Amino acid sequence: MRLDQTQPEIIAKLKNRITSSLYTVLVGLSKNAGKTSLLNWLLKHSKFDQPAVITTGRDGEELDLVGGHSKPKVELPANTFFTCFSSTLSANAPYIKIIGRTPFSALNRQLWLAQSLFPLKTEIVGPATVSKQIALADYILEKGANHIFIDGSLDRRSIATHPKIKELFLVAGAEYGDLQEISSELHKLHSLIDIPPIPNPNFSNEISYQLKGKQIQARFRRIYGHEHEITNWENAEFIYFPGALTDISFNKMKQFFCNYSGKLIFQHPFFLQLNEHNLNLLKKHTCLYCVNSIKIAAIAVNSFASNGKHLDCQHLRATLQSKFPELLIFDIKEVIYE
Amino acid sequence: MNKNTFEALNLADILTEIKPLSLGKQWQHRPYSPQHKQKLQNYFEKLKLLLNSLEKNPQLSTQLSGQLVHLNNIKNTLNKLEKIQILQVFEVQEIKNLLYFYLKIKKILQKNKLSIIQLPKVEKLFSFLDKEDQNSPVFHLSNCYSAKYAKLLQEYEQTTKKLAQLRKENLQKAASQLNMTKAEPQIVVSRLDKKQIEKLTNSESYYLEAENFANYTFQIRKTEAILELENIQNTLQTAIEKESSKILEKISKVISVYEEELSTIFSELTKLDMLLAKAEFCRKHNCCVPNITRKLSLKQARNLPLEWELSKNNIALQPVDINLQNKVNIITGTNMAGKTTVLKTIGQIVYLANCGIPVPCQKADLPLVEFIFFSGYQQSRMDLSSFASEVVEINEVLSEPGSGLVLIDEFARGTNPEEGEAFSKTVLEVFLEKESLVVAATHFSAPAQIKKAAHFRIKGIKADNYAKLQQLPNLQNRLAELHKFMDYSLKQVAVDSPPPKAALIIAEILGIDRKIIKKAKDFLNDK
Repeated sequence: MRLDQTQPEIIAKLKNRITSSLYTVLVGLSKNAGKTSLLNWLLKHSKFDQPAVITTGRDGEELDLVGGHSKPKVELPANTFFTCFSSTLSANAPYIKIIGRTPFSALNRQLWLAQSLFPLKTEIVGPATVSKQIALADYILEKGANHIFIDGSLDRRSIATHPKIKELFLVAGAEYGDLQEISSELHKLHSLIDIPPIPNPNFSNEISYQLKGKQIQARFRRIYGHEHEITNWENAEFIYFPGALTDISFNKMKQFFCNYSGKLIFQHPFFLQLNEHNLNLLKKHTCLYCVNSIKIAAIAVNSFASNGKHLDCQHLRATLQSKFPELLIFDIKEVIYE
Repeated sequence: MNKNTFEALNLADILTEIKPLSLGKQWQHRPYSPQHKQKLQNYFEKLKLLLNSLEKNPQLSTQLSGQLVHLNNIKNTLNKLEKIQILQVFEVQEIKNLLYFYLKIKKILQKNKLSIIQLPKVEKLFSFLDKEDQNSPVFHLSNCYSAKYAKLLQEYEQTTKKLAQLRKENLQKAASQLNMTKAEPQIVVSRLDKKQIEKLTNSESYYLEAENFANYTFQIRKTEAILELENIQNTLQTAIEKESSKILEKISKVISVYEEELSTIFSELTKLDMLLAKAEFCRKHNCCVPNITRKLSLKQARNLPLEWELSKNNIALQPVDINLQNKVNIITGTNMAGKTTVLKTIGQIVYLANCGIPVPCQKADLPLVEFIFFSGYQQSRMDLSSFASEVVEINEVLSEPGSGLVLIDEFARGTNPEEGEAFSKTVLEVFLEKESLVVAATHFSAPAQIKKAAHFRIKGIKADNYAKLQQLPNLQNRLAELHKFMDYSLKQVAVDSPPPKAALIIAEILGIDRKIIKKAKDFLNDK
């Protein structure tokens, strides 16, 4: 049992982190990580007077569309802005204010913006793409919201990679794997967020490199399929990659990376889609930078797995806390005694 | 208009420049028929009024577009009203949204003394939907709609608050009983933590909800008071839902009284969106509102797609004056002089005007036609040769009743010149007996003999400038200069004036081996 921090202290720290930004972004290590439970908990404890919630796709639906198991509904405090389908508006008519039809859609259906008048358990729906999510967030802020909670996803197309998003709340659930697998993934994420940002970046959306002070555009965006060409740039002062580096490409270019002395600049740390071993090799042998950086505000752990591979909650909390002492790790279902 | 003509005239490129903000996006551009000449003239009068107001008040465009942009297509909701069905809550919001922005637009139009659309009176309906005087498009089922509903909502609010308080107290009590810093409704304990499990299992505050091989999940035990309040809350919810349905029925009935006004507002705002889009198109592309007359007279006419294309290379398009007083009009000119461009320009401008759209001219008088037809666009049927396609097309248009605009680009150029020339002349003569306005471009000499036709020639390049062009070093330079030396304006010429012949000179400028040109010239001299 972790006794170094009491739950009120954690709540205070979390509140501080939430209020420091306009956006609170939640991402899970895997599907069914427990993001909705964390979202409900944060909404309950953060106490903004006009918060808004945005999700990727659907959230709070009765059953998981893939697994078929029941899922928690989103619990909105009064005065929370949310987007949904028209059917949700009809179902909750007495308890909401309808702001109007938005210019956004999801699953080929129009999205509506509403605000809860009472605490409400409901389904929320949001656009699937990062650009639309950010545009929707701006739209809701214009309508009067003062903080946006975004239920996102953790991949290179995720809201987490958007330049406006500076901090993440990460949910590490047993659904992802055993303790070693979770630790390994967290290690990887931890080493990704270590990558320093590059000052004054000025890059196009193509791969480019600098040779004798002159920036040259490669006329292609992807590393995959161009590995051989890139390995000819061993004298470049820097190489900029706007897209992902995967293990397949890395293994083809391993020799090049191990000998390259210039700077390697990526658009975002999450675009380094490498296993822990390859990532460590890359970090060890090259000078890595990113255009956009990101921090982990806190990690919420969840011992429950819908696939039945649950983890011992006490062991999970204690192990992660000991491995990542500098991170704020908490469990919303933890009992803390005085 | 067939697809071929629509494509040949590059109309899609022009129409995409007309950008409605909301309701007008559903609008399909359709030409007015000659029977509706008065309607079109009235429409153009409204467009002129709007253009004048936009000129006088530079803020007007932003003021109107600022409101129009918020409108949504609510045709389905309006259809529901027609059938007197009960509206859903979001449909009521859609109507309130329409009314809110309509009333703002009404104020702007009245302030600017602009009577270009009908403005029905719906202020009372808006007030009815804005029960709490919020003056916004936001809608909710206000407790002002029914005293019973207000009472139920008040009770629900009190119960919810009380319930939250009881739950909070219950958690506080649990925390205090178990010496916890803070209790949560659900807690998870490791299966190995026997002491905690025992403590929680034996506590009055929690019960074991679930267990698995790793953990035990405990849930806060609800007190009798909480359970009772939850029951009350559920009962209230059922009553509220019932009452809200009644309110929606009442609101729907009130709205349905205004069904006609709402339909008018919807269609009038759609018209306004289109009028504003066309006015902005007019201002952006220096167009004018045309006059509908029997003859066609265009001053400084421009082919917009060509103008945009040329501007990419910093070349200014030369506008042309086109004055057609006869039924059949024949245009001749050297190669590259712009005969096809003139035909297309006429087609574009007549189509735009017939659709109620300003035209790219300084001044335009033109007729309302029943159809527009362009012959000579090389995207014809795959199963026919170019000549065969032309013949099929001309045959179709000859059998078309009514007065149209027929644009014929070098008819019969794809067959042997002797027969083609005779055929071309005869077809044009047949058109003299028809009602349509015909403009034909040709290189043949025979059509020049048609007495009842008007004959035009594109001025082209002066003879001494050909020599200057031939002296320029490379093809690129010659092409660039060719455009500068070319005079694209039309002049009327007498009947029997032979078409200009400059094919060999143009070919030479375009870089054909001089030996070939010389041989061709020798051949002509021998003939």
